[in-house]
Amino acid sequence: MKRWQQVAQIGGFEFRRFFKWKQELFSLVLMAALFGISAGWGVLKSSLEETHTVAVVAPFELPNIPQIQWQPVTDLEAARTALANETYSGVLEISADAEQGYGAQLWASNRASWQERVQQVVQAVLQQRKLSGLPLSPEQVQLVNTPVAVTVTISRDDASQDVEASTAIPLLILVSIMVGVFGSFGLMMTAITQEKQQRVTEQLLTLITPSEWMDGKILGITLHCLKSMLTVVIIMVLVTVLMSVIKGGVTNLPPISPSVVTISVLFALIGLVMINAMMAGFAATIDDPNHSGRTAVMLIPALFVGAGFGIMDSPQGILAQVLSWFPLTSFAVMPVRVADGGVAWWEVAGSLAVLVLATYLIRSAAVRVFRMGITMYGKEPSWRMMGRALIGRKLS
Amino acid sequence: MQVDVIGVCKDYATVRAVDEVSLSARGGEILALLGPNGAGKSSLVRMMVGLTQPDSGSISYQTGDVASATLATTQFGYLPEDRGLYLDRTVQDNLRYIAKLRGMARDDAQKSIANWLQRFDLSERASEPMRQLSKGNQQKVQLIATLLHSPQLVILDEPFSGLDPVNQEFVLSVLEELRSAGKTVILSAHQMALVERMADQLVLMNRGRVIAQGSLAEVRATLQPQQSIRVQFADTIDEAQLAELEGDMNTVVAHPNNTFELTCGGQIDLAQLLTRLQSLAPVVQFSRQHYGLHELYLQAVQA
Repeated sequence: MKRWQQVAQIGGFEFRRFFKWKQELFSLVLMAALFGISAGWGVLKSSLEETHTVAVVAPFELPNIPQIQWQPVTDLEAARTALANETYSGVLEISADAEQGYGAQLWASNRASWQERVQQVVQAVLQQRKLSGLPLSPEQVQLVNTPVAVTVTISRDDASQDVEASTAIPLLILVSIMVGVFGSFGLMMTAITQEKQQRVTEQLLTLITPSEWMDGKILGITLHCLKSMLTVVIIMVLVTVLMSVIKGGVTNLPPISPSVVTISVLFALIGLVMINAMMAGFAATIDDPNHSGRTAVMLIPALFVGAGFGIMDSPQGILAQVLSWFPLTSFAVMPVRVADGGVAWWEVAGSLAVLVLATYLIRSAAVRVFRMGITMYGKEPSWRMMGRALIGRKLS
Repeated sequence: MQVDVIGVCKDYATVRAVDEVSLSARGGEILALLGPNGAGKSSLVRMMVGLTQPDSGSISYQTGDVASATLATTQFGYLPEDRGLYLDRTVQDNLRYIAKLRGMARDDAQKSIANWLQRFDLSERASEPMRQLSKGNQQKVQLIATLLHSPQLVILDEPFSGLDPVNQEFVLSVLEELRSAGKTVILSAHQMALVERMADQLVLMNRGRVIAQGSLAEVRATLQPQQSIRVQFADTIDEAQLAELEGDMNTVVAHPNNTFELTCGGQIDLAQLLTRLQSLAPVVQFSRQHYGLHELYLQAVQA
């Protein structure tokens, strides 16, 4: 059988090994629920929050605030006594002040988030009261109340979307890559350490070479990670649309450029292959994942994706430019830069070429470590042995 | 297929695991590797299937007139000592995967799997995950994985371990069937009684070296150069009389009831010995002691 056929067989097996319909459906529902809850958290929180009754001693009425019920009272001391008995959540006294116009004091039994909202509303109301006490015309009052507008004009052609929209696409890309990297960590770790513990290795190594085996694993698990990434993207988009519809607004998805999608997928795919190669080589050196101190090392690739999040506020800065060429971070950083716009084609091509070359070299080194580690039971190779295997030196 | 191992050595760090081992196994023959743990059997087997390479010496495989230094995956089946399959996958999935990696066509694989599962009485458990099977049944699935592509050379490291006596007998019958079909079977085992019954060739190893090899009779002759004879006389005799036969006897050990155990060196004419013993007193029992492979194995290893 040809090498690519063996790799395809192994890849298919590895993919099916972790693809279970019931689990997939369950995780889809769970993910949709989680995104839904996080997207609609504000609405959910306010709808579930209890109503607080606040006794008010004030010379005028206060406007209504959600979850706050004003209870006008005249006897402040009686109200404070009732506060101690938990009849009220708080007692608010608003009094006229000779110098400032008004003064306000809020008593409460415990510190709670509703007090901040009360403070903000009372401040705003008293500010308006103060303004209305000045000899100003309604037009002047309105003028004072209108904040000064600062208009930001972006000169680049492709930067027509608003700020929220411009961060949405890179965020979506990075979150999906992070999902892929974590998936890669979990699956590769499980795949290889289980095989070592279940003693599958010796049987298989008489049928396939270590490099075929590792490449097959990279193929199958990369496909699985891509599936997870795609699922996350679809769920995120669907939930965003759904939440917009529920809120009664128009769905306002940022425009998605095909070139951004293509470049992002390409970088993410090659980056995942590179990460999976690193994981495969390293996982083969772990004897027991529950007791090995090396397990944490496999989380390092998550830091590479973290670099993408780190440059989101300045995607065209010097640091972002450097990281978008560095192969361990470029797969996460370059898509963010491309989504931000204004990256020259030669930069994209050059970074991609460096990434491909690095992936090839890392995969070659990983095969050597994998070959050494996969048949080692009951002990882990030393760092020195791993180092020698990495550079292709014979183990002494 | 004929397997020729010539002067093979293998070192691991400072330990010589296999030391100048030579053997030859032919088609239609069962060769059993015997020896205590650490004797070098598994190291030798791993080299035969290409998992490791000899440091010196050679291993070659001859099919008809074609000799080769390597084996194609379709030519051999290997049951490793450290064995296992994917416990979370079903029996069928595991076997299909192995069949695919061996390059078997889908239909052929399916037929072979169904056939073997039926023979091993596992058809009804084909869609169960491996972890739900008993150790013995898992072992049977392993054996099916080794045999499902009908290999010319079958190499089995401890094939009887984990099996109950009924299944040991069944595996034995399968091995005999393979021999009848002209396959070459090489195995390592600790079940001496089973090995004694089926093996055409024995290779007894200790500390990496071959200490005896050949047919059972040849191994016996190598390991038991002395014959042990038990004789019981009708009347009491003096041990000194037996000592007169000193030229033929190495040792004489007295037992109750006028019974003696005589150890004779080299080949001895038993009829002549009996005549001489009868001249001392009437003999009521005269028998040659046969040690089983188990005793020979223990004696040789302990020596």
